[in-house]
Amino acid sequence: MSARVLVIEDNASSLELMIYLLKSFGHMPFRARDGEEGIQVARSERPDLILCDVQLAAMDGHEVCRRLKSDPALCLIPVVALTAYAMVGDREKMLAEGFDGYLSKPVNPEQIMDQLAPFLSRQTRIVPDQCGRSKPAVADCLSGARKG
Amino acid sequence: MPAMQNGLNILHLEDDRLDADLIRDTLTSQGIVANIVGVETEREFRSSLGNGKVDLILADYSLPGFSGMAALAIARENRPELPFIFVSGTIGEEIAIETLKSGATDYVLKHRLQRLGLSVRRALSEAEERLRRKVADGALRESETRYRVLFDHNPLPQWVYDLETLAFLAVNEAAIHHYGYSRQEFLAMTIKDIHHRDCVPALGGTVTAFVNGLARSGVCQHRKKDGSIIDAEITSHSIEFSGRQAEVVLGMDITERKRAEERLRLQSAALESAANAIVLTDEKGAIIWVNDAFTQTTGYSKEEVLGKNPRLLKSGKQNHAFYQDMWDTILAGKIWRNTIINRCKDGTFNHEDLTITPIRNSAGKITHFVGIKQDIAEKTRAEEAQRSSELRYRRLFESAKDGILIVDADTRQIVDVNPFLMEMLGFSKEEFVGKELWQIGLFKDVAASKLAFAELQQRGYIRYEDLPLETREGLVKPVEFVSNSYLVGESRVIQCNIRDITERKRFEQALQEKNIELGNANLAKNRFLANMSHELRTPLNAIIGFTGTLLMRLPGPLNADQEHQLSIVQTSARHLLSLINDLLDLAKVESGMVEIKYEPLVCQEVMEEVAEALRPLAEAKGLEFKIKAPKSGVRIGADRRILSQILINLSNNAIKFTEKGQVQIQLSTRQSNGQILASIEVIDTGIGIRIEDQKKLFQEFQQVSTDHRNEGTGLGLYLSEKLAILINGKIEFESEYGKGSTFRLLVPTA
Repeated sequence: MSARVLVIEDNASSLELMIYLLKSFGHMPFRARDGEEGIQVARSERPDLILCDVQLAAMDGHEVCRRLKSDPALCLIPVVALTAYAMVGDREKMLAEGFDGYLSKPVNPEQIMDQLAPFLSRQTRIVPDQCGRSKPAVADCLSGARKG
Repeated sequence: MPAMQNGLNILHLEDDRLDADLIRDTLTSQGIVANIVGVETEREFRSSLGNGKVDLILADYSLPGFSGMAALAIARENRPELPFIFVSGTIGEEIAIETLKSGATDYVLKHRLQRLGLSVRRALSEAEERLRRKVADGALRESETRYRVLFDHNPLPQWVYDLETLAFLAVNEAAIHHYGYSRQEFLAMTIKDIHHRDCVPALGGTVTAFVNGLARSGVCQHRKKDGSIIDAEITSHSIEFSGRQAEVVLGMDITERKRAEERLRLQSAALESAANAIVLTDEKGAIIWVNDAFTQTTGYSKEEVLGKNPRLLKSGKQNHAFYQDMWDTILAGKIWRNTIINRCKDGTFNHEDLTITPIRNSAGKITHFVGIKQDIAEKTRAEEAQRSSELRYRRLFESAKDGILIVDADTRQIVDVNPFLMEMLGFSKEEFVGKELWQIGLFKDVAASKLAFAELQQRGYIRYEDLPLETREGLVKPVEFVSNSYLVGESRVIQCNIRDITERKRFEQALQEKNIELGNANLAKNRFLANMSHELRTPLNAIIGFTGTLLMRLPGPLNADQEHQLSIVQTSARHLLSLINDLLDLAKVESGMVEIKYEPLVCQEVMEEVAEALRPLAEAKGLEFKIKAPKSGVRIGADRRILSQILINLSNNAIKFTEKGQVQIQLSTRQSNGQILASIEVIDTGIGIRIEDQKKLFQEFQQVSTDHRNEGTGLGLYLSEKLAILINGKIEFESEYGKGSTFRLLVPTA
């Protein structure tokens, strides 16, 4: 089941890791190095899933998410925050701002595909907050958050 | 028969000698011994009758030259009391009746002389009875006359009334005069007509027997003809009056006396109960009466002072001239008034205002002195207290470090102003006093301040936290302005307390700025920590990520050395991540930047979540992970994330340091200092902690298991303890080396 996944990431190493992982598991990745580009790619490619870094130069991840969600053509595409902001409350903050899911860095390559699986199924992808279910709610606690 | 004992004298009118002898003998034979004087003519008869010594007359009916009837007439006229018996030959019955009608006592025929004795005895007896009755009648008549005089001329009202009809039968002049009714009016009334209220027996039912009846007395109220009511003291007793059972009543008007008595009683009570001590002495100064107040103020009983001279109260604190002046004044008949210091029985001194008034009798001679005292100690003390209180408040007013204005509530004019306010606002006293508040130029908005004043008058209280006042120099001074109105004696005043809050405002502003600064610093620190976290994690993402892909052999196969070394990189990278996380968490906790959200929690739910998260980790090591908890929810109020993190930290440790057996989270409650605590224990069957290591357990960067694989950062327990404190909890532990440890979180239940 190959999916089209857009990765918006300004850190080259992190971007390379995600592209490599997605390809390794048979998905089709698209890359964007900043928010502006990310939105353009999203419009042109209509991916199944968008993984978006939060700390981006110029337009940050929150703004990207807001724009994606306010675009009727794009609003149904799940957007998962993939961020090194992993302190207490960050997960709630991002879900509240419109992200459909939240994954903290560093990612665990062995688990990441399981964590993204719910957003790749067409039946469930419009249901927000689903990505968080792959780990227990407590996982957001100070130590739990980093277990992901 | 008294007459016979003294010798009976009979006058016998008889012309026939034989008959005379026969009658004498007959009387003698019938036991009547008498001295009989026989007469034949009218002359002899009159003569014998006149000498007086006659007790009975016997007379023949017909005589030559005289007659029995004529003799009867003479006897009736001169000695009507004497019995007169005809002793004669046969006369007709009509004549016999005629003689009896004419006053004869009896009639005895000469040929029936055997009746004579009986007749004489009866006549004598009747005569004696008549005589006795006559004497008695004479006495009665005399008594009545005397009584009549007494009755009529009695200066006290007196009347007689019929006991049956209650009608007046007689009244005296005094009654007529006093009650205003005429005699005719009286005699037409009953006693009920003059009774205002029924008489009250003064003797309370006791009665005294009199010859003619019962004497009664009492006081009743009578109504006079003019309608006025009088108190009458009544004495009465029963008599027979003109054949009627009657009551004679003596009435004395005691209205005045009663009034006087009442007045005296009141005056006496007033003097007795007067708050002022009163002492009455005779002209020599000996005490004859004192009132209760006197005994109370001096401490002497009445018995102790009666007959004594008031000098027993002398304190010795006043000189001879003082007392000399007093005596000179009162002996001159003048009133003396001064403050005197007296010594009470208990030795204490009394300051008294004493007024001594001489009392003169009707002849103008001084007979008594009356002294009235007023204890002024209380007054003096009160005045003194008042003065010092006023002085205190005056000083307070003068030296206050707040501005104070006193305003007359009615005229709205300023009455007083304290120096501090003058200095604060730069106006002189003259510029304040006599003006209305808004005439001075303190207020920018005169209309608004007039409204405020009206409100103050209505509510009695007004307060402004921050009111700008203008000083004389035109500077605006922020003040706290508090006004309240209250009564001083009769007049209502308004007190305004005005506090310069320039300094306070400056301070408040500085504080606010400082707070903002601190807030900013805090924000900056938070942001710094967040950025730190972000920046440290970002490179780790690539390190851990690509180590992972390599170990997953995504790029291609690995030899054993490569795999081993990459595993070391992975473990070290993860350890570094843990260190970074714990350090940042600690930094947050220690700088008080952890936001705590208290919410009601059920411990079992949080425990289940922790177990769900950590069970895979335990099971990966072949350990059982169990939960033991009561069925009913144990509720606490705490921050969910903090509670979770503590339990995860403790459970993580337990799993980390246990090689076989189990880790159990166990919930119970316990009582402590009247509080019910939730106790959540994490119990492992791990390596335990040596006694010597237990002290170091909660210190930073301490990891005690030197013989164990170095997995932790050494910050976990330290952080957990800090977090427990944040939710009002604490952590305890028990451990036996080689057997296992129990870590216990205690949190108050909700």
